[in-house]
Amino acid sequence: MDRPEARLAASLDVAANLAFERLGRHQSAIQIAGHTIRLVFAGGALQSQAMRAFTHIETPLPSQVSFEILVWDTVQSGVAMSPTAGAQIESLLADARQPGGPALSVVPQGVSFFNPETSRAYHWLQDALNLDETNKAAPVRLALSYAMADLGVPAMHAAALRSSSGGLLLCGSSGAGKSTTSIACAQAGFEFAADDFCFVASNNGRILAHSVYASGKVYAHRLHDLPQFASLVMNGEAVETEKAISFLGEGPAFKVIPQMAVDAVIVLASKGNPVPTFRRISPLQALVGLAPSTVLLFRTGGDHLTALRRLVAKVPCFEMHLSRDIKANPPAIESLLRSLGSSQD
Amino acid sequence: MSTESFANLAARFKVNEPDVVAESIDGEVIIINLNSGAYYSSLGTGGAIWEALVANHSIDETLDLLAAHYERPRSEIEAEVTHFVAQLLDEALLLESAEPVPVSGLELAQPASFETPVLSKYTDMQELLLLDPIHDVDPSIGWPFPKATK
Repeated sequence: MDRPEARLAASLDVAANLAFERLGRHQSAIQIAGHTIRLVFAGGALQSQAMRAFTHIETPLPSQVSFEILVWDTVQSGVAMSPTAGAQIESLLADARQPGGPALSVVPQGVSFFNPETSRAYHWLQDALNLDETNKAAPVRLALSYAMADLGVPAMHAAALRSSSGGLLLCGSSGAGKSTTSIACAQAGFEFAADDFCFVASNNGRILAHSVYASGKVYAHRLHDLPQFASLVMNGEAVETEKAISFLGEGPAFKVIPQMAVDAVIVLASKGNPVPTFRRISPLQALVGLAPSTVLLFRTGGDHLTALRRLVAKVPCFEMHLSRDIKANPPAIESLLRSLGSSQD
Repeated sequence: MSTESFANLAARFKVNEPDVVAESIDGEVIIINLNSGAYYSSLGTGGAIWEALVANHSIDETLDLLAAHYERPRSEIEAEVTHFVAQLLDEALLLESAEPVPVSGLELAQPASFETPVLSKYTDMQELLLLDPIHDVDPSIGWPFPKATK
């Protein structure tokens, strides 16, 4: 118990257990890339709120798991983060910002921490009823990223979709159009695995994208072009200040899949063009398009970059210039995938 | 940013790990500074120079390698190569290395014509690193609620 990480884990265990005593220990399990993960929530309200994003990967509670994530908040449980834990977090943060440092993040709404020695992650929120769009649509994302990275499964800042012609990863920096394009594709009949976050792994020489969240996010001004998505929006009261969020598994128009093979990587390079166009790019150019946001967002370092390099080296990579007409983009992507399929026949 | 060339041709270098991570594919390189959030790419000749330097070739040896590969006199390429090295150092992507590591064999995969090496820098991801912890806490109400203003 000498290591600072172990001392922080002990402090967080105390806080989480107190919250569980007050609100009940509500457990669920999800499965990602063959790993079963136990989620332990303080209170049924927090559990049912978070599990809306995981309906497609929920699994019965097993006796053994790869890791677990403890989730609690202060406003509902009345359990404040102790000054001792706060001081431990503050003292570890400088190291956490260094590559290879502790798996710890502090964001305005809470703290995520993973202790690899116990395979236990912690996700503490100040107020679970007042979450930002990321925490609403993609709960426990950093805790999952840390723990899965420890298992050798890298996170990817990308959308993942599959049509009858093949599967693709859609990459690009924030604002490039990943979410809107992926929802447009899902509404056009593509199967949906992710709108901007998934895990990737290799299996028998193929790259698999593993879905985590059944949620999608688009800006409110896009909703009139996406009526099926709009009918499911869960944060209508907040769409003037944040993206509209829908859980796609809750409507009959969408098919959410837990995993898919990747046949192409598309890097979104520009939007607002008259018609959608593609250009074949080198694996390195694809890596420039997809790796920085992934590596910087999840702070998992050089191994992560190497894993992404292996991915782009295995599949054809393209740059896409999106049409301003968002309904024109899905058929163009489908056409590209079909041409790749026929060229491999 | 400095536009000086790097003058010590005997110098050897190493990647500024762990702050900097890099990957090469087919002679092209992507470099990410995990601390600053800036990232870089270099294609063609720039990728070849990077590969030679991180394989522990001195600038001198790198110039010989490039001159042979591109069939150009050293004197014609030296200024552009040393300027590129200065850029890599200015961006803190490489550090000078005193370690007597043996030079590994290296085959350059770049096209046959020497082109001015270009280091493209991107800063659009730096906002990802700007999330800061909440400081200035009031211990009486728990961390990290900010102190009430008086």
